[in-house]
Order: sequence, then C-alpha cells, then structure tokens
Amino acid sequence: MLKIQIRPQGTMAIYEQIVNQLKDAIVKGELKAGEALPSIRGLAMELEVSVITTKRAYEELEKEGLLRSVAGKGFYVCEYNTDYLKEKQWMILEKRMTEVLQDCKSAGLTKQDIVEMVEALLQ
Amino acid sequence: MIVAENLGKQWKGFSLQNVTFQLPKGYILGLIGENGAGKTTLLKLLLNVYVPTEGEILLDGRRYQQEEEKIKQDIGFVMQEDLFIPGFTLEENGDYYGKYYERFSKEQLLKLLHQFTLNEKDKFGKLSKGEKLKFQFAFALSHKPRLLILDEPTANFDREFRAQFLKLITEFIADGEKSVVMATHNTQDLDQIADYIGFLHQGKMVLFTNRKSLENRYRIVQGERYRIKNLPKQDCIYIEEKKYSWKALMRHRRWRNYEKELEVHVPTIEELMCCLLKANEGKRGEFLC
Repeated sequence: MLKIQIRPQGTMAIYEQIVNQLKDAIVKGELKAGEALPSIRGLAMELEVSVITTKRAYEELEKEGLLRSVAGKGFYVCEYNTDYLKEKQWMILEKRMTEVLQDCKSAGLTKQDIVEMVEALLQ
Repeated sequence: MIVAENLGKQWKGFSLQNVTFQLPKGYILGLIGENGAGKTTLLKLLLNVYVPTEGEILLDGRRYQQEEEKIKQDIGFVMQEDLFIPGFTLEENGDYYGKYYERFSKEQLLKLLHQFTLNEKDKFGKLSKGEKLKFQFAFALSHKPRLLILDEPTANFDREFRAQFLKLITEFIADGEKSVVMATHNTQDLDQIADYIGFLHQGKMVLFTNRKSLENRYRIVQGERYRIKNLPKQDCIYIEEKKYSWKALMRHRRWRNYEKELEVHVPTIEELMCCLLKANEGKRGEFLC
C-alpha cells in the first residue's frame, strides 16, 4: 500500500510533498505503470488534507507525464522510462550536492571535515 | 452549493456588508478574521438565526423564505451557545431534539458519543465547555446533514480529539456531496483541510480564495535586511523588521526566482492573516491583499 506522509508545518506546500513522494514511489517501482491511484477525494480523506491539494498534486504529475487521467475513472500511472526518471533525479541531487560542497569549501572545511560531517549525518 | 450574494446585516455599531461568495458542494470553507470581524454573524445568517438586511442566501438552490423546513433538515451546526437542555441527559437531549430531524439516527449518536468518550447518561449541564462542543458535534453528525456550520468547534478540544475531529470532517465531505463552513481561531486546523478561505475584516469579506490560488499568490520571504529591501517594492505587501532577519509577505509571480540565500515558503494561514492585518492597520479604503 502507498505510504504518504504529510508534515503540516513543513516549508514545502502539502501538494508538493505529495508530488515528491508519489514521484519517489514511481522511481522505486512501488507504483507500477498502469496502476490506478486512489481517487482525489479518497486520498484527501486518507491524508486528511484538502481536496484541492490532492487534485493539484495529481494535476502536476499529469503535466509531467507521470500520470494520466481517464475521464470518469481516475488517475493511472503512465508507461514511463524508469531509467530516465532515475537519471533526472540523480542529476538534481548532483547539482544540489555540488552547491553544498562549494559552500563547504568557501567556509573553509577540508575534505576530511566534509566526510566526517556526512558520515555523522548518515548515522 | 452555498451562494451568498451581497449579504448584509446592520446593527447599531456593527455591520456586515456585501458578502458575496460561492462554495461548491464537496468542499470545506474556513472563515478567519479577528474577534468582531463578522464570522459568527455570517454563520448565523447562513443558519437563518439572523435575517439578512440585504442580499440573499441560496443553499443547494433553496431560499429560507420558501423552504426553511427542508433547509434546516440538511444543516448540522456547532455554535458557542449552549442550545441543549441542561437538566436532560445527553440521551434525553438526543431523543428530544432528534425528533425534529427526519434522518436522525439514535444509533449513530450513541456510537459517536462513545467514540468521543462521552457518557449518554450524563446531564448536559454538567459537561465541560469542550464536552458540550463534542456533544453538539456528535448530534450535528447524527442527523445526516448535507451542510455543517461550525463556530469555533475546536476551541476547547484537547489535541487528541482535534485529530479525530479533522478526520471526521474530511470523511464527511469525501463523497463530494456535502460542505462544511467553519470559523476558527485555530487556523492550524485549516492549514491542512480547508479548500477555501474566507477572510473577514471589519464586516467585509476582504479575501475569498481557494487553496490553489492562495498558494500561487503569496510567499513569505525571510533573510537579511538588504536582501529583503532588494525585493520588488510593488509586490511587497508587508515587511516585518526583526533584529537579525527581515520577513516579507510577497505577492508571488510564477516566473519569479528568489535569491537562494533567502528562505521562501508558502504562508500558513496564521502568517497570512497576521501580515495582512498589519499591512492594513489604520488604513482606510481598499484592503491591501
């Protein structure tokens, strides 16, 4: 079963949290092509969030080509290229990592410092 | 569907003016605003406790003037006044008032009372404020309304019950046929579940918007003073000057990127309300928002 966790006071809007988690589920293969998603109202009830929020999340994913809507039936996961999605995700992470590393260097951290910090955080 | 058109109520020293909005069925409307802004007055107009001086209300296409009986069957409410008989037990109150509602189910009422850890043999008058609200809420749900009108329903609820309450409300509208109008000071309750927000200020509905346009329209931007000062002036609605970092409520544009050193987020309803109130403090004329 699909697990979505909402952090109400997060800095990200709730619909974005849903979008990201659904994307992750698709990349990880927890949601498979052709699979039906819970209805907009069903998901809103499940997560106790507004209907407009879940509707928006599905619409965003539809725009990105990850979901398709079938009139009168609901939303389905598209046939997609998992490798492509994975690559895109890695690209974004690499870009963010580069930024962070740049900032670390500017702040005078050594390679040793950075590795230690990462290891501590990974615990 | 709730339609309010140019709704107005005049009192000595207070008036609600030109309130116009539409709430489609299947959605939750959260009413916010300071004390005395007109939230309770608007709810009482929707309940026909007050009769409007101007304008009109349509509830699922019906008007109180013609079909009051039918409309009342469809409305469940929680108000701040104690409307039940203090000397009666909860069960007796249920029996007494339940007979006015065609779809009242005693079974449902008892089930909810147990779920809310209320004892049906207790006298209504002996309940605490929070328990009285719980009982009103249970009664409102047990006659299968199509519209719930709630005035500060969670004010005296403990945290655990508030979670239950939010669940019941989202379940209530899940079939897409029913609606909820809820006024509250606990705006956190609305952050997650409200589809529409109505902001009342000095008797006027100064903002009525759905969540999507609210999220598109505003950002809170925080950071160093000089960075905040660099933000485009025409889109700064309000700036709060704090000692170390400044905070701005911005009118957001889709194409706008903020400097990455700034912390940017969609305002919570509380933040939005506070900033808008401060931005309009002592101001006359059109409400800036």
